Amino acid sequence: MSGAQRILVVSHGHPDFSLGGGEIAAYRLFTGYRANPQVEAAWFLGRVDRRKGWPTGQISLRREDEYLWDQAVHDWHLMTAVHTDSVTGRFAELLRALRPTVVHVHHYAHLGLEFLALIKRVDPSIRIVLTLHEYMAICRQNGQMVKARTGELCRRSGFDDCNRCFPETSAEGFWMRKQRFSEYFALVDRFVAPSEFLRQRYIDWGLDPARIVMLENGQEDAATLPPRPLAEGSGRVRFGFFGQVSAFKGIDVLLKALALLPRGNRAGVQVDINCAHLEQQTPELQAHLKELAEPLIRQGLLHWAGPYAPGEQASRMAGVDWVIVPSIWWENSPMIIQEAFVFGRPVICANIGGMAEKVRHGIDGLHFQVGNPHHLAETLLECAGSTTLWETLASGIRRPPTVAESTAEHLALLEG
Amino acid sequence: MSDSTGSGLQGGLRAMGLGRRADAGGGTQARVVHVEGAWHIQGLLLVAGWRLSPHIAVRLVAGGTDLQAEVHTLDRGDVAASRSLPSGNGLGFGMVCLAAQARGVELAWKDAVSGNSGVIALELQVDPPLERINFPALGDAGAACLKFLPPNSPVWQMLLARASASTDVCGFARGSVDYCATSEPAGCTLLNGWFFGEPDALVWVEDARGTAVALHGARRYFRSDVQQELAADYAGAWSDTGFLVADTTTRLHGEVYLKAMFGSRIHILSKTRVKVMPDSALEIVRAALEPVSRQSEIRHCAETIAPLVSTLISRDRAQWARSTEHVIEFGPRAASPRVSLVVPLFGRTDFVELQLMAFARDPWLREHAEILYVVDDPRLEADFPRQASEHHLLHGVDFCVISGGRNRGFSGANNLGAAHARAPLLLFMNSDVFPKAPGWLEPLVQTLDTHADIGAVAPRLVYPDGSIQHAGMVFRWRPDLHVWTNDHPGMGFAVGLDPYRELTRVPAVTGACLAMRRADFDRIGGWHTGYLIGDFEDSDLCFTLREAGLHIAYEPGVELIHLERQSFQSIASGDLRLRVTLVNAVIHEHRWRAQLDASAGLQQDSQP
Repeated sequence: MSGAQRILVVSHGHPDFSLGGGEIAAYRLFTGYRANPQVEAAWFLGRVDRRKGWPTGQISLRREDEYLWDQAVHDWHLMTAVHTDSVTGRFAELLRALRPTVVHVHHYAHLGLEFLALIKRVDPSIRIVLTLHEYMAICRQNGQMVKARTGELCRRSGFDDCNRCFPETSAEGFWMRKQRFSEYFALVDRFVAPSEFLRQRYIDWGLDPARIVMLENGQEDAATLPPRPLAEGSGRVRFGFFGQVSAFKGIDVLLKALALLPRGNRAGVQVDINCAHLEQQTPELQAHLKELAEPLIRQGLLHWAGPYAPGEQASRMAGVDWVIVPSIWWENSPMIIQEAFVFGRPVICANIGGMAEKVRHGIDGLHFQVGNPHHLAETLLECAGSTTLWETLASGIRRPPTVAESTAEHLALLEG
Repeated sequence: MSDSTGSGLQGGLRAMGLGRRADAGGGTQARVVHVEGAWHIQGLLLVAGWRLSPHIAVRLVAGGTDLQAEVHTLDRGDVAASRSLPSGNGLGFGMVCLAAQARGVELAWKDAVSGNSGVIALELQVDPPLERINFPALGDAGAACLKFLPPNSPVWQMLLARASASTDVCGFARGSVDYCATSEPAGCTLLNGWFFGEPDALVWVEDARGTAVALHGARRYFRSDVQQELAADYAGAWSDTGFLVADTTTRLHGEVYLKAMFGSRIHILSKTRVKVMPDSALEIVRAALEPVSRQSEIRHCAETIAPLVSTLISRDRAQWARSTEHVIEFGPRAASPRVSLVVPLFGRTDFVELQLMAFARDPWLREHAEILYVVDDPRLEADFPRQASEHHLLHGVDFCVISGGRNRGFSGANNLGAAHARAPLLLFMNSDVFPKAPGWLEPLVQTLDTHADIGAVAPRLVYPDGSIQHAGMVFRWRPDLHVWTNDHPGMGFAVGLDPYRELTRVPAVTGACLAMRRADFDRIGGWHTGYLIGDFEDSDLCFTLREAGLHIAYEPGVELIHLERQSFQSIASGDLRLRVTLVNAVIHEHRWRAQLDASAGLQQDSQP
């Protein structure tokens, strides 16, 4: 394709209201497109939830070139939009008015799949790019590929396999789910996977390898932070967790690992938890985490720093030596890993999926056995006890692509 | 009234003084036995009388043949008193038997003590008014007539009216009517219940107006619940306690009583209110066959209710013409399509989008086919047009939605769709059948275009897991169920195990995806609508086409996905589903018995 592109970026949320990794990546790419001279025009359409799941379907202006779409999904099995009239109505009208050459979709969650078909109905020449942020099409369990009841890692979907996780849905029901996703995915021109791991999972699922490329998310062009200044006789003993809490983020693994550190030989380890959305979790998870955290806080091992604003991330990260990503699901391309690398902090992560791909063991970080607090405790002691490890790993970090670089890669994809 | 010496008790008195002379041939010697009356009514012979000794045996003969009359003895204190006998015990007798004609009947007697015997010619009163019959003198024989008479005949009702029923605990029978429904307009009644008791006891169901349904010819079956409940009391002596009656001529009203008679005693065993029979044949199958627990007995009970089910089905079909049809066209209709796709919808509509998306990607189909969805479920009519409109806007495939206003079942819905179809070829397709890739329709159309001898062709259907769902059908006798069933050979196997590699003649194919010519469809009168829900419509259609001289073909070169039965799950499942299938199997067998029998041992025809 040649000539200037007109690109509409569609996302399942607007970062003004929802700070998930997918929303942030989508918005950053929108800003990248808008700043790129090859792009004639760029717009952002973020889904919003004004009435707690009962959408009006209304499309409204957030600010110049940024729109909000009040939309929702109730049927997460088939991923159908609640307000379908607005798909064939207002959304179609918006497309006709904006006349994009490309619609770059970052997620269909909360939006439903239908709008993908509508794009081609309005103009079959509009190219659809879809960036996949997790395993939603493959796995009914919030796209996590973690078994619904046992929390076991899942390696492959299947109609009967999925029926074992969700006995209320028949194997045929899972065939229908895959068929529906596949039919809509057939309308997509190019898929973008932010990790090779995720790309392979979708290829295993049935996506044509030629249609899906791996492209890194772009990061803010921030300066690398200086190493945390050390007091005399102190080591690289400060670890940080950053991100939103969920049952799959593995905070409990980290807390259990801290509890396992032998008294009298803790090497001065201290962990900061910088996390949001604890209050949105189930009462059971909240209680469980509190129960694990309280003795550690009393013992001075743990500092529960709580949520932070986007602008505060650098200052919080400046206070730690290492970033820990203990997730018990596969992850895709966790933004926190890229951010830690931008700021020059090695990462300790679970040895699976997108985490293990983005963090190179022994080069820019360390892996530990997923879900294993004993192994994480050993790793923490190894990090805190070594005088050279941190420098070695910090110097191994490659800077992730900037938003501008990532945008250029995406535009090259559109040219291809 | 006739008597060998006189009449009534007066004659009896005179006979007594002369009775000692034993002379088999003479009239006076016969006075030890008195006949008080002999009547022939409705083919029944009734004789009442008494004898001077209970040791005198009596029987009825005609032309030297024993008529096997039932003899009921009764106490005749009046005879004993007038003859100064110590006891009247066993002196009276009432006799009843079937007798086609009234002439030449004699009463033969023999005294076991004295060895004396004699014969008395009977003078029968033919078809007397009932009040002329001396019922007191007949004793239990009067009531015993009931079991020889057709229920509800005037005599039956009059006899019954003379007998009073006891509501006391019955010592010789127990039972209950579990279900009793009458259809006033259809004039039929379904009864389901159980009873057991003395083998000779007479049991019937009777309403407050005296209309009765006798149970002595009823279908009996094993009732596991009765067995379990009462096994302790009765030690399983009566195994087939269940009864099932599907009466297409009788109406019952109000309360119905289950009554039993043994000897002259009549007891009410239970009381039930008559329900209005539901119009739904499915409900009748449920009410009639759900208590039948032995699979081997379901078929026989299905046989019992099949005429009633067929009555309800044809009454239902007669209503179709009165319901309003609506057609909504989403997009312009092709003027001259080559093939019309007819897809009935029942229960759920979430398959439609997936089908339409697959159709949307098929250029040949879009150019040459018209798509007709038939809403065969009034529950869907409120919401489906909106969904359909949305699908049309999203996916850009033109199609038609036909609403029939009521549920017509698979055959009826297909026929309705065909009535609106414009193409010379029809392809009937279930809503849960999905093309795997574009290009599936043209080869089926070509098969019919190039093979004039083929009446219907169907593709291979596979399950979502890729295994065979349909590769042609055959008929199999199921000895456990006592029915012919439609079988899908190779179902669940890898497609590599399909013995067919090319277009092949088969006994029958599935109706889930079947192409045929419009002209043949019209010639055979379309899909047979005499089945419930959906089981044998497709094999019935294939038999009809074969009877018209055409072949049925299977095309393994075309493959689609079939979720199978997903769309039917919401109406009947499990035990009821099996029972409906067996009722359909009985109807199927009644229509195609010779062809089914011929297919035994000849499971697959040769290739064309």
